[in-house]
Amino acid sequence: MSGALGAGRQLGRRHAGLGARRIWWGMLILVGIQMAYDLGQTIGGDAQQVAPELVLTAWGVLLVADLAVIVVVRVLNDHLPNWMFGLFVAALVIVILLDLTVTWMRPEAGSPVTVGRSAVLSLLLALTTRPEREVLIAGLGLAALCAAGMALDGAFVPPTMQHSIFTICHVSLTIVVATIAIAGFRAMVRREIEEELSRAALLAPQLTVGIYQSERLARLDLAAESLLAAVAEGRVQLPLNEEIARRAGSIASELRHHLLESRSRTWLDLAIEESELLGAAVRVTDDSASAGLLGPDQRSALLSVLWLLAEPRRPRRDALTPTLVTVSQPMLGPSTRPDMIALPVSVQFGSDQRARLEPGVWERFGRIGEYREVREQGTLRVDILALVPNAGHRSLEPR
Amino acid sequence: MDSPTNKRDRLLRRTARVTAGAALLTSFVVASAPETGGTIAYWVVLPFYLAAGLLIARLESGRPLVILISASLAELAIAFCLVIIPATPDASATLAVTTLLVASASGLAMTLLVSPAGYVTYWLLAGITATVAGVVLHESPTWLPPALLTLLGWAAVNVIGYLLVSSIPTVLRQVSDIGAAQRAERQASELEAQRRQSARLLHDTVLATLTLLAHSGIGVSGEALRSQARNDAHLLRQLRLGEPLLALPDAGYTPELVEESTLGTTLERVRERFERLSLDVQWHGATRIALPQPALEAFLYAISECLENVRRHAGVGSAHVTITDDTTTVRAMITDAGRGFDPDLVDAERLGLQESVIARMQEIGGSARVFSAPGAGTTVLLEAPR
Repeated sequence: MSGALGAGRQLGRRHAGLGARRIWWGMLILVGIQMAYDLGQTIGGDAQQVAPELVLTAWGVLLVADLAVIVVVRVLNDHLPNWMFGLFVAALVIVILLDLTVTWMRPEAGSPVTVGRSAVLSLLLALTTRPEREVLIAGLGLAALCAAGMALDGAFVPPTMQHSIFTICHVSLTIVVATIAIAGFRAMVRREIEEELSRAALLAPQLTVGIYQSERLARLDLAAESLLAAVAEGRVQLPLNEEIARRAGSIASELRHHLLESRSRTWLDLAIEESELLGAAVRVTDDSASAGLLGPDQRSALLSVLWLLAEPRRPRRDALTPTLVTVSQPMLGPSTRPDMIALPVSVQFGSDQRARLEPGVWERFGRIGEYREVREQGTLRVDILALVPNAGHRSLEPR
Repeated sequence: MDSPTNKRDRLLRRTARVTAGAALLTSFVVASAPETGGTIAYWVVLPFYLAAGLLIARLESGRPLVILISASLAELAIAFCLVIIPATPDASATLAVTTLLVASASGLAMTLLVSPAGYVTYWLLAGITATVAGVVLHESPTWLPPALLTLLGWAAVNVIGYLLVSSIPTVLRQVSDIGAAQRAERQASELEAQRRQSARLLHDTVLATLTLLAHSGIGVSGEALRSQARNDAHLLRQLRLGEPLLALPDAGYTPELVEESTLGTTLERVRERFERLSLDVQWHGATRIALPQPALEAFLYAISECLENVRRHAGVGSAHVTITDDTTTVRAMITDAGRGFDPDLVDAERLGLQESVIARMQEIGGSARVFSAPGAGTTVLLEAPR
């Protein structure tokens, strides 16, 4: 079991890799277009007449570096090790310095960088396999290097000024746009995975134990078993020495604690506790563990609402006031439905969430039960009366 | 708003917004450079830049088609003003207009890349933009002719848009596979936990044995402790290997009546245990307890917990257990002639009664009552509804 769970965790860590390959191909094509364009400019321009060996070396280094990254990323299955990324950036720095040297050697001031531009944008090849911040910092660093070199050549005065500005904007903003896009993509994938994983909790029975608790119980049992076996087989001497006695005591108290604690958890606790996003955005008060009484469709609707509200549209985590969900003790149902009991569920929104109250949210509230809006002191609360079947709920049966 | 289509559209709009916005910014910065910067044409296009920027910023939240059209018109206006107002457009105007047509307009149109009709529209717009570029830009800022450069830019944006859009279904499918795996994992873990919870009685003897060990096993004969440990280790091993043990209800959550023979065995286990721990227990009354499985476990647990208390605190070596049942209730009375205590003075919690016995009996709808006085022994009455 722990193996499968470990795999699940690993997937969670590697989720940035989902869908990354296609995007990597896109980056490859973009870098290809930019390189073809810059190569055309190099051939069409007169740089090679000034220092052909330098221009040739610069292109050679760039091609080798790009090919090396492409091969490594393919061979290692969408992975680029730290040292390789470091080497790659170093090679790009060399290419840019060579290109800048060529522009400095030219008689006229402010000649354009060509292969240097391709070098900065080649960083896009590492975009999907590295944290976006690294690519952003490296890209802006290389762009700054270009800008500094061009400034030394007097590129930022008329008449070459606008071209120089354009070049710097072009390379740096392309990197910025690409990192923002990949960050958005990764955030979407992460959110999808978290929502999907939290949905697995919907299937839980009325009261449940989480995967982690279950695994923990199994581990405690195993520890107890090996200790008891050691005692039974005489491998440890009786009376026990202090250390083993202490271990027995700690296993016993953990086991006792576990057996008491694990009886009061519901699917809602699990769904929220096992998702980082929901955990930060939702607080649940459910002392009587009544959320477990909700039916499958009601559970699904409630979880969807919480996910809709937790959507991180703006990265202002600090400003986010959590959604408060309160599940109270069940009451007698309406007289027309003696077979049902009523479960009051209330959802109080954070002040910044009202903008997100789209039709989908209200439709889902409707699926949980009859609801009404309560506005007090600038906050909005929705009180829902969810009807759930009465059968099997002992505490409400007449004694 | 949950559907894959919406997720795809949102991602595409977000990307389109940053692409078009960054290109607009580049164009604006370039246009601000001499010589266009500060001329009449510059001041005329300034509001258009502002308008286009505001519209692009709203691309994610508003109605995308309306925004796409109005932002494109604003950019077209910038392009015409920058090249028509000055008699001969200088290099910065040319470059600014090229940037707009090549990257910003295509970035905006990226939102169209979701259907075959969208692709047709996208390339129609690309053709129009390339024509505009060819007509208004008399000189190219690069070695490529303006029209060709424009088509190249639109092609690049098309590649990005296509790959983003086409990656979404794959990603969602992979995510749902992960979800399915997680559900299977949770169900397995739920069954496992249920099995272990059902083996509560087992855990309770394990707990008791571990507690004895924690006191280094003092006060109990070594042989009895070994035998108890062997028994518990064996049961834990069976539990770990998934072998059937005691009377586990099979994974379902509905309580079921357990067969009599098994019941006998479980009650027998409690007897054996205290025999081993050298407490002489006299059993009276019914030899079977007719309760469904979870309630039975709680009941047996409560009995053994009371006997454990006798063993530890009463200072006598014997106790009596009387089990009776009628049509509605099963009762057990555990009596000893030990030193007793004053229930008002001695905290029930200290004796472990509150949590272990009273709470457990209440959980199955029953009750536990303690009668005792110093020097007069102790009686505990357990009642559970049938």
